[in-house]
Amino acid sequence: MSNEVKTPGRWLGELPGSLFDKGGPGRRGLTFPRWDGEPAPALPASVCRAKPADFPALSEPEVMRHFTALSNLNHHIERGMYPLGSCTMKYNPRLNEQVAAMPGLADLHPEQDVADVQGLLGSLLHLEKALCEITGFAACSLMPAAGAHGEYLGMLVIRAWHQARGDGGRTEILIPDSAHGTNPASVAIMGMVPRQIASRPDGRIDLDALKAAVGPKTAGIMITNPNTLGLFENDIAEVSRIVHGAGGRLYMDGANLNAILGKARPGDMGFDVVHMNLHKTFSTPHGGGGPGSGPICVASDLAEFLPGPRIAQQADGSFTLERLPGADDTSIHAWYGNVGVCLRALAYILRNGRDGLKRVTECAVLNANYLKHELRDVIEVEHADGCLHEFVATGRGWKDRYGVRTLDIAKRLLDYGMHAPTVYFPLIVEEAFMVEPTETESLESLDRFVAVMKAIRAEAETDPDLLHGAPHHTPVGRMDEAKAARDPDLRWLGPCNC
Amino acid sequence: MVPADRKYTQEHEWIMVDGGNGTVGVTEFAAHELGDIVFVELPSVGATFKQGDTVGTIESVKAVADLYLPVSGEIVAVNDAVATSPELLNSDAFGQGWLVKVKLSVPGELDALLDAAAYGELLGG
Amino acid sequence: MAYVPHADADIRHMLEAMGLDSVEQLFAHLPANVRLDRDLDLPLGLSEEEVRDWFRCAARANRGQGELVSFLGGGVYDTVVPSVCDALVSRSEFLTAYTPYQPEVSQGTLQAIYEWQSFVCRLTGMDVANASMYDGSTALAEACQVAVAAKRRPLVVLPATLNPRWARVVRTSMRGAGIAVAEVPAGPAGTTDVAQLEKVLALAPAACFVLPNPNYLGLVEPVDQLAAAARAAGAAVIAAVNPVSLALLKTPGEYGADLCVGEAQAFGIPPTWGGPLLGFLACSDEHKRRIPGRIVGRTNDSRGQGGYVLTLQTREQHIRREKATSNICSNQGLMMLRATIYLAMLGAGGLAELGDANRARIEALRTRARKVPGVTIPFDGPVFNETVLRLPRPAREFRAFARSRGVLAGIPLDGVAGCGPNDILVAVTEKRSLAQIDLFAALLAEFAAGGGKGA
Repeated sequence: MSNEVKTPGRWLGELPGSLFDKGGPGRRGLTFPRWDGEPAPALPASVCRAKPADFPALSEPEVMRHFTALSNLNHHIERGMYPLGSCTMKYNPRLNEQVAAMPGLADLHPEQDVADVQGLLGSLLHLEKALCEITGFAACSLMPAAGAHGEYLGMLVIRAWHQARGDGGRTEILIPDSAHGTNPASVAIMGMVPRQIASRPDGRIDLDALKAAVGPKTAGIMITNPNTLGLFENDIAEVSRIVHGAGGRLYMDGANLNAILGKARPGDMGFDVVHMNLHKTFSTPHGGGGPGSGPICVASDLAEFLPGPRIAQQADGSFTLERLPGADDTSIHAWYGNVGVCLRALAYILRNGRDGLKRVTECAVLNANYLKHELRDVIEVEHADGCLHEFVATGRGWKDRYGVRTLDIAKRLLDYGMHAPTVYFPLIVEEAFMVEPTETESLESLDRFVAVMKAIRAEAETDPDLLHGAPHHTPVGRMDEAKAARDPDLRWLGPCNC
Repeated sequence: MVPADRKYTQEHEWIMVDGGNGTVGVTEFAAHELGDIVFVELPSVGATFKQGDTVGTIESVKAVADLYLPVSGEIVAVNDAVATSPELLNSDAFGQGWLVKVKLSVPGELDALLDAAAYGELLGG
Repeated sequence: MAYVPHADADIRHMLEAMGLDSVEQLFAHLPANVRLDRDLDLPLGLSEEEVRDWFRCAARANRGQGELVSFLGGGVYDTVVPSVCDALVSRSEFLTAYTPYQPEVSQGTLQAIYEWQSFVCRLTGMDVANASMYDGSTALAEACQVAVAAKRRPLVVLPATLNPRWARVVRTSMRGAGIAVAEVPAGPAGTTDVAQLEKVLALAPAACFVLPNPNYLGLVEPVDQLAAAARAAGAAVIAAVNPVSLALLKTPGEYGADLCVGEAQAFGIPPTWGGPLLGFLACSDEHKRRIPGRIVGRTNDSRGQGGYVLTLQTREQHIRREKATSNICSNQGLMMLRATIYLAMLGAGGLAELGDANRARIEALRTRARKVPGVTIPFDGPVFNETVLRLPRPAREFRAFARSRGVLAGIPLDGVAGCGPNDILVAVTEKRSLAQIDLFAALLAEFAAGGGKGA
C-alpha cells in the first residue's frame, strides 16, 4: 500500500448537450401494446389542449446514450468516498435493489385487498418491530417519505397528544442552535414556534439555558443525538427530566443514528419520538436526492396518534390493517409512504442482524476517530474529546495562514476524486469542515483521504491560488450561482427536433 | 466610506432625509456581508409601516436579510431599478442602490438613529 | 460481516495507531445510564442468499398486478415501465450519488432535473417546475401553503371531487398551520358546479381553489368556468392533474392556473403499494420564488461553459430555517429520473398515442358496461382513463367476485362526492388488452345476473 498521492489528471470528457436538442422528426423510443378494439370518439375540442406538447423525438439508443453521458458527470459512492458529515453516505448494497424490485412487491397496487398483500404486510410489520427494538420504542409509522417529513409527523403527534389532554396552549418547541435547518422549519410550518437555545462551548446543550427556556408553553424539544458536532449529549437524562418536568416531550432527530446502533437507544435516553433516515443509517441509496424514507418510532402513549391504518397480526398469523380514530388527523401521505425504500432497509437489517448492526456502529465510530487522529496535524479539530461517527474540523487556521477558505479545500478534494465534506455547517463553528467517513470505507480509503488532505495543505502553502480556482479537473468549474439566481433559466425554451 | 449626509440603524440601514421624505437603503457593509445580491423584494407604494417593521427582503445566493424601515411612515416610491438589477446594491449601495422612499409620519424618530460617526464606530472604526 | 471492509487485523492496526486497546473505549464516555447493556433483540445476520429467499417468500405471499388483471386507479396506475428506465436508474452514477450540492461533480443529476422541469412545463403549460415532491398529495398540500402565503388569506377551498386521500393530506397540513378548509359539494354531473363554487367563495375570501382534472371520478371538470370563478374572487387556481391526461386535455397554463400539481407515477414508476411515487409542482412565473423544493437553473461556470446548479436556494429550509415556507429537503430523485427517461422515450409521437390508447380503452369499457342490464354509468361527461360504474349490488361484492376470477375490479366509492355503496371507480391504462376488457364486461354481466352472491 502506498500513500503517495498522484496529481489529479484532466477530465477528458465532453459535456453531453441538451436532450431537447437531440433526436429528429419521426423518431420513437417507446411503443405500446397493439389495440384491437374500436378507436374512441374524439373528445370535444373545448376540453382539449390547443397543440401537442413540444417534446423531443428520440430513439431508444439515443435515450440510452444521453442519460449514460449524463451519468458519467456524477460523483457517486461506488466511485469514491463521501466524507459528508451529517449525511451518512455509506455503501448501498445491490441486494436491497434486487429485493425491492421483485414481482409480488414492486407491482402491488395500494388499493388491493389485504388478502393480496399478506407477505408485504408481514415484511413491513417486521421492519416496524425491528426499528422499535433498535430505538427502544413501542410503535412505528413508516409513512414519512423523508427525514423532514418524519420531523413534521413527530411534531403533529406531539401536538395531538397535548391537545387530547386539553393542553393545546403548548406551542413552543425548543431547538439547540446547532440543529439542522429542517428542525425549525418543520416546527414553523405546522404553526408552532421554534425557540432557539444556545449550546455550551463544547457544543452540547446548555442546561441552564434550557431551564430558563422551559415553561407552560413548552410543547417539547428537538435534539439531534449525537449532535451535529458528532458529540453525545451526556446530560440527556437531565434534559429529559427538565423537559418532561415542564410538561413537554422529547423529539430526537435520528440523522446520526449510525453512531449508536446496538450501543444506546433513544427510548432509553428519555426521548418520546425519534425519526430515522433509512437512506442514511440503513443504506438505501440517496439517488441524487431521493427518494428517502423517514419513519418515526414513538413511546406507547403516543401510538394512538400515528397516521393511517396500522398493521396488526391476528391469532391465526394473518395480517390486517386497522384504522384508529385519530389516524386521519396526522395523515401526511396519500398511501403508506415510500414502501419500496422500507423494503430495502429491511433487507439491510436482516443481512446485518444484531451482530452486524453493532459492528456497523463500532466501525463507523472507529473510522471517524481514526481519521480525526490521523488528521490531527493537518487541520484543527473542534471539540476534540469523544467524537462518535463524525467530527467537525475548522479551516480557520488555513484561512489565517494561507488565505485559503474551507470552501477552497472542499473544491480541491473534488479534483482528487473525492466528494467534499459538509462545510459551513454546523453554523456555530467558524469555517466548519465536517467529516463522516462511515463504516464502509476501508483502511486504505481512509489513509488516502489523509494523504490527499496533506497534499492539499502542501498546495495551500505553496500555491493558494490553485485552491482558490479549484476544481480544475471536474467536468465543469465553479458555477456562477449569482447569475443563476438573478436571471433564472429554469427550463429549455428552444424548439425541439420533432 | 460612511457618508455623513444621512443617518444609520444598528441593522445597517441608512436614511437620507430631504424635506418630509426619507430615502432608505442598506449600507455598503451590509451589501458586502451578504455577498452577491440576487433578489430584492420591496413593499407596495402607499403602504404604511411603523418604525422597525419588516418591509422587504434582500437575498444573496445563500442568505436572506430582512429590510427594516428605520422610521414610521408611508411608502411613496420604490426603486424599480434594483428590482431588475439587484447587483446595484453591491456596486452602489449608498446611491443607485437605494430601496424605498418614505414619507415620515414621526420625524422625531430620526433623533435616535446613529450618525455617520456612531455608525462607523459600530463597524469597528 | 455484511458490508464492513475491516478484518480484525485492520481494526487492531487502527486502534494501535490511536493508542487504544479496544473499540469499546471509543464508547466509554457514553453515560452508563443510557448504555444498552444487552444485545439488540434481533436475529443474527443472514447471508445474501438467505435474505433474498426471505423476500422471495414474502413476495410469493402477495398477488400483484403482474399476476392479476388490474382495473385499479385512483392516482396509481398499472402502466408500462420501459426497460431503459430500470437500466439507467440502477447505474451507480445515478443510484448512489448524493444530492447535487457540489455542481462540479453532479452535472448528470442536475441536468436531468432541468430536463424534468422542462418536460413538466411543456406538458402543463406552466412557466416553472421544481425537482419533484414526495407524491401528488404532498405536492398539493405544499401548493396550498404557497397560495396562502401569496394571498395572505387563511382559507383553502377544495371540491368534493378531489381524491379523498389527497384531501386528507391537505387537511392535515392546513390544520397544522391554522388555515381553514371549505368544501364545494359535487354537482349532479359528478363535477364541481360553478354556481356552488361561487357560493362558497362569496362566504369568505379564499387563498385558492383546488381544481382536479380529471377529477377523482374520472370526469373532465368545466375548467375554464371554474378557474374564472376562482380568479374573480381573488383566489389562486391550483390545478391537480393526472399528467398522462395532458397528452390530450387542456393544460393548466391554458386555463390560467397559478399552480399545478400532480402524481407522475404513471411515467415509468412501479407502484410498490403506493410509494415511492413522484409528486410534481409547477407554477406561473409570479410564484417562482415562493414554491418549495429544489430547483435547478442553467448558468455558466468559471471556464465559460454552460452548466447547471441548484438555484433560488433562499426559499429553502437550510437557509431560511423557521421562516421557510416548507421543510422539504429531499426530492424523489430516482423517481424523477425514471419519469424523465420515460418522457424522453415517449417523445411527441408517443405522447399522442398514449393519450389515444387510454381513451380507446376507457370508451370500449364504457360501451360494454352500458350494455349490461342493471349496470349504469351515472355521470356521462367526458373521461380520460377512469369511469364510475353504478352496479345493481354493492361494489364490494363485485370486487370480491372479480378477484375470485383474477381481476382487480376497481375502488368502491361509497361516500365519495355523492357516490353510493354500489358505485365503483374503474381505471384502464395502455396495458389493458381488448380481451381483458371483454373479460371485465363478462364479469359485470355475470355479477349483474346474480353471480358472486353470498361470496
